[in-house]
Amino acid sequence: MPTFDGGHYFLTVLVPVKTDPIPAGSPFTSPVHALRKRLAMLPPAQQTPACCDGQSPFARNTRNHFARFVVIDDVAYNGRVTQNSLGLALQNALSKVKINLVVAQPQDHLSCPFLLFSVDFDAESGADSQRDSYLATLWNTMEVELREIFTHCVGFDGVNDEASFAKYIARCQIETTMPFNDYYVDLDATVKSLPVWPVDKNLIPAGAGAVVIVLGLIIFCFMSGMSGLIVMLLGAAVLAGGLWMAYASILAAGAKPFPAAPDSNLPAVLKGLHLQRTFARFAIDKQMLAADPASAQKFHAAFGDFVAENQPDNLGVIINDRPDPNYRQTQKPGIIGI
Amino acid sequence: MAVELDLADIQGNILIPYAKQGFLKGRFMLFHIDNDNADAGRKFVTGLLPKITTALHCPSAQPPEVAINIAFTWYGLLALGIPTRTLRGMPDEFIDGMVKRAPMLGDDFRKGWKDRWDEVWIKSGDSYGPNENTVHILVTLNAQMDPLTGAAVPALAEKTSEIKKLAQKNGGITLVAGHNLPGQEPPIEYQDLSAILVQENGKYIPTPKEHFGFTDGISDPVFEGQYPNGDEQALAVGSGALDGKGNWRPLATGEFLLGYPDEAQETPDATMPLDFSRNGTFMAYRKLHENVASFKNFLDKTAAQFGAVTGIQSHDDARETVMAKMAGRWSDGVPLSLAPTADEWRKFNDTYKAVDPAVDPAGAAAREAALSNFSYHDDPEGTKCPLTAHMRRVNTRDMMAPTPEDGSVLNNRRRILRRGLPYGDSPVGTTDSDEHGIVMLIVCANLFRQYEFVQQQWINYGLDSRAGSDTCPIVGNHSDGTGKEPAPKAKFVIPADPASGHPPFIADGLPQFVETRGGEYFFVPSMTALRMIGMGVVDPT
Repeated sequence: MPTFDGGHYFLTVLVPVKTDPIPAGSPFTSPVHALRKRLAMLPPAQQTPACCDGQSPFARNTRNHFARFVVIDDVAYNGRVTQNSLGLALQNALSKVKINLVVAQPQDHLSCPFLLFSVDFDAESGADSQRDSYLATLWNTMEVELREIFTHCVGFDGVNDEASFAKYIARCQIETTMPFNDYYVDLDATVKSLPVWPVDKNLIPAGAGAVVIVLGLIIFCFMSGMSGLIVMLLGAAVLAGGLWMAYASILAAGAKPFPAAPDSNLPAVLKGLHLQRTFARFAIDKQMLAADPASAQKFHAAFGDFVAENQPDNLGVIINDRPDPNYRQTQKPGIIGI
Repeated sequence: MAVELDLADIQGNILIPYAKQGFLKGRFMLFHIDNDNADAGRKFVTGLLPKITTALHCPSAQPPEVAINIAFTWYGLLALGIPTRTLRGMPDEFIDGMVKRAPMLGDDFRKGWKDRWDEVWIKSGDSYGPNENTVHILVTLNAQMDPLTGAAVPALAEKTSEIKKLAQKNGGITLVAGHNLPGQEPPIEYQDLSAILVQENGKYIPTPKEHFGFTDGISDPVFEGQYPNGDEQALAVGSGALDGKGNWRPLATGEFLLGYPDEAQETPDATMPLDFSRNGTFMAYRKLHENVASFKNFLDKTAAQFGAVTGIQSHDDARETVMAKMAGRWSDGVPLSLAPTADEWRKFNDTYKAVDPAVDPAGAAAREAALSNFSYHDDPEGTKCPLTAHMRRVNTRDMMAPTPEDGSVLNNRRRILRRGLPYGDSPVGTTDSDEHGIVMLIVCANLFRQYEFVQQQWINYGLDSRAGSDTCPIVGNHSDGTGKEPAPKAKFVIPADPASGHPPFIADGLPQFVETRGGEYFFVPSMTALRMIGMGVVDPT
């Protein structure tokens, strides 16, 4: 199930956008126009040379790695389906159904625009309850923005709390078929976690079926025609069943998610960044101590102070997926400036 | 079939730097074509055409005393009446010009950055477009030197006045002056340049140094067709492209000249008609001021700490080592990769003695070849040459190879030719505000992919050097960490070999050593294209 992989839930949602004009003051405008404008005003979307004015609402929680809204107006038209021109000439010469190149081929279109919502967040499993708890966090940290965005979407009118929001998003969820997880994995642990698929063991049923078919053929040729035929049919059924079982077990093995990369949840990543920055500063400030063997004890003590101050094992107290505003020994989610 | 270049069609200074051909003095002139005076512009180009130096003259047995070349900004081509279709086929960055590309190049790092440019470049225009002082034409004069006076040969003054007269003859062409800071009177008419000279036995001897004291101009890229008789195969060692087996070859011609296949095995985009683009190339003109006093003070302060941390007793050795770690080469050009310590440096110089090429050409060639012949595969942690050293950043050789078999594949499309000369002087006791630095002329087929990439990703950022946001210790933007600039306090990490028992050293609080004083992007046409421009027959249809 690629929707969950490497300790991350990859949520993909396609929500239909309303098409009836809305009165947005004056003049009237379309929901998709108003939606685009609202999305463009979400803080980090304003990536001008003077960017970073304001923080993304997604930075209010500690589970979000990546979130993206995209408006899909329609499917792209890729031009006429081409045909070999000699073949076409021959076909037109021989067949009564003539193909006229100036008559347009049927084209696909969407019945309405769609809002794509794609998120990569920390989760313990791919269970629906994990998704719903994340959506509840979103509702509790950015309800205003969510309402302003999804109000332009079909069927959102009844959504008024975290449960109905989770239900609404679940209705529009589609399977994520190709997640991208950009954290260093522990290669050994990952390889060991891969399911084993012994070829011989998994192909025994199919092999038995094949043997039975050969047996049936021998009976058919040298003994009783009818009995041979029945045995062969039986063998074919076992072969088909065996192949299906092998195929199903491969797919089941493939669906098993990779284990999470070490320290790849957001609080651990933020803590890592904080430690990198503070340790670089510590190293600069104390390097002259490190150079002098006589200062070894002082240097050791200074490092002790550094560890005590920065608490490498403490990711910060997280209450309901929110960063603890009073804990300074980690990095805040979102854009940090310098 | 190897590439055979028509040397008579290619302007001089592109294939071989003028400084290496004995043109030690430079003078750069900038012109503006007045409104609705395309005709005067064309007459100026046509008048100049017979004087232009091509690769056929330089190098040759009888080089001119003064080499003259010409290049145009996009607004210059517009003023010359080049057809819209040819103009819009030009690359975005060339149309934008250097001011608009400031965020890409890091030139806008400090507030009020444009006010610290030279007057001529401030007047030339802003991101809103051109005006009556916009630079349209660059004419470069590169002159031989009189060793007795250390000045340019008299022909430089003669050629200067000839070109000025030519501009005045038909009217409509103005020399744009102001190669000094705003408010400094009078505005300087030309940008004069000179190799840094030393006096020996009553004669002036040129050095390959820039003002900080580094030796410049080593390991310029070598590409197919650049040298006669297929010499580039031998010269490509250390300066071309490296495969995964240690073999070097010249880079593809199309990386440096339009109209030829490049390292992606395609003919790079070029505007129509093809004979307008072919044998032409692009050039970034960048006047880079050097804060020599700041650099020397920083070195003295840092060398004392570095010596203490790394156990180097001699202050001179510590100072030279810090310089070398910043540059990737010792001050005389010997690469750290081949001589990681001061002792090994001296040993290298005993093996490959620095000799006068006129006295011992074989010895000089052997040293020159040795200075370039190395790669980084044996130094992944940068204990010999730091990953963030200037030279390792701008020419990554095989460092970025995804697998050892890939050689320099991720470097081959990011190479630039460096043409240019120092300006000003920096005697003992010089201050930061004295006029001295380098006018860099960066030549490549695609400014965006080659020059701007190197400047943005490799000089002003550190990800590919595994150094986070650290910038190039010499030419990168350096913040003081007070929040005035959008970056943390500048630092530079010098890794240590764990076997040495010494910790790495982190140089902290690097001041800004190099500041942009102006510049522009230019198209350097072939002789064919110059003739077409002059005749007004550029036909893209």
